[in-house]
Amino acid sequence: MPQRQTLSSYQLLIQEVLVFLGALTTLLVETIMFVARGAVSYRHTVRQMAEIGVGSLMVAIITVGFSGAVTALYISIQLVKYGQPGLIGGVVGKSLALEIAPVITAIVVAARSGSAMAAELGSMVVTEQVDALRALATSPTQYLVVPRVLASVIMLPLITVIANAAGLLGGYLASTANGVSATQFMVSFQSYTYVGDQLNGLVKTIPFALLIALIGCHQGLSTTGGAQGVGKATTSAVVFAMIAVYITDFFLSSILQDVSLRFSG
Amino acid sequence: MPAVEFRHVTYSVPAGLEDDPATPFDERLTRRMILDDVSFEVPERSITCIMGVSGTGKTTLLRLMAGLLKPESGEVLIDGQDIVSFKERELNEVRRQMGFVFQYGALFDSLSVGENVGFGLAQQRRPAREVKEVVAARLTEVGLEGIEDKLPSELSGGMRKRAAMARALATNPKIVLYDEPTSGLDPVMARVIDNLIVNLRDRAGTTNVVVSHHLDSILRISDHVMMLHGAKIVAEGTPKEVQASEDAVVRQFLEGKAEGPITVR
Repeated sequence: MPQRQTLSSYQLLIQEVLVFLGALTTLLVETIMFVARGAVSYRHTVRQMAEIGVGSLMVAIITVGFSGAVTALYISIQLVKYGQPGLIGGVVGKSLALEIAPVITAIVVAARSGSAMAAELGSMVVTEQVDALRALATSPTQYLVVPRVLASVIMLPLITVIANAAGLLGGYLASTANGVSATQFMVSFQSYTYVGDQLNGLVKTIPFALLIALIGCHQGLSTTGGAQGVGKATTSAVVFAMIAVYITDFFLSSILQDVSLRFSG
Repeated sequence: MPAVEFRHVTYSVPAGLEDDPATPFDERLTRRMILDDVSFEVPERSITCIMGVSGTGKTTLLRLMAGLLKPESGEVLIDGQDIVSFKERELNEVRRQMGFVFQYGALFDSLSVGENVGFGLAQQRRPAREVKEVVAARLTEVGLEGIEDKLPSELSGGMRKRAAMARALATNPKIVLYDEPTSGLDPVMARVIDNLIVNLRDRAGTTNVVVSHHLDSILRISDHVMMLHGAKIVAEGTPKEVQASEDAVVRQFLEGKAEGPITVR
């Protein structure tokens, strides 16, 4: 009965997605409980913050910097053609603040730090270190997951701000090289990009950071098998985190746009 | 009262999928019995060895004792309390009275040897000076004095195992579980570890459960021996009683023959 077969494999997929979301939610709730109880190791959190910062900052600056430049390049060619060079700074600034900086930074952190979390925790699982933690009466969530989640939530907005600045610089350089004056770019940026846009983009980085760290930790902690299992956990952590970031981005942006429109009247 | 008691414990693992598309997915999953209605007692202040060929579920037995796994049915009693229904927090109370020496040490590789050995005490928020003293004393006891600042990756296999013993013993546990403490070690080192286990029982009165397939070491140190085969306990008693057993499986294991009822897969 091939039809039944197909149906059951779809059911299985839906079931797996629901189980995965359930596991992430459980991990999130456990993490929040530990944080609320103050059971946080500041030393480990700071160490994780350093790991994420050192690992991701330069990559984020380069990727967002060039994304800003290429965006400005296309836009300035078009808008100069239609005689609207005064809009370029605003369009580039808004795109960077609302979308490019938060999303690309999240992807960079997922690829660089989410994967590292999955790989490290996965290796700890296969070498029985996670069992050793539990045998020493220590919760793996408290000891391993809480510092990583907190560090991501603190670092992702910071990296996004710096990457955003790098993007603006890239955009500025690309625009001025294509016939837009420096003053035009700056004035346009200042009059069309609002503080609200910057905040809007930054608010999105918090759920992104939660997703990246929780998925990285969950994939690491559910590793089975040996070195191959660690490889699978690492790859799936990056893939799932990227998918989750893009899906969340769309729905969150819809809500945030709605909210900001209502506030601006 | 026995320190550890199993009552009708059953545990199985998923074994695979039958290749028959016509039957529904759930019914095609097969399971492999690891423990089938197993009952036994571990006397207090004894060295109880569990022997058996590789892959019979000896390690699973230890994990069930530490609450790292839950059985499908039956009771696991530690000091008279059934831990099967315990929540993680209650299990941690039980685990604080327990030491677990993992097969490959399972030292945390991001921490120094000293931090590893003092981990349990540090988690109990004991003062740093006390932790330092205990760590030094335990390391000296296992013949590794002065290596507190080394990283686990700098140690040899035998040193790692002894450091892991020091870590398991740092909190003065009442019950110590050893997973293959002498496998992969040279005969001299194996004898050193054997002596450590015996000394510990004599000095501190701990209850020791040793999982091993090293026959000479089992017969030398144990007060009580059990043999696990085919998900059942096939022999139990003092080393002398087990050595005198007429059971074909036990005889094949004791005599180390390739032919017999034990099939190697």
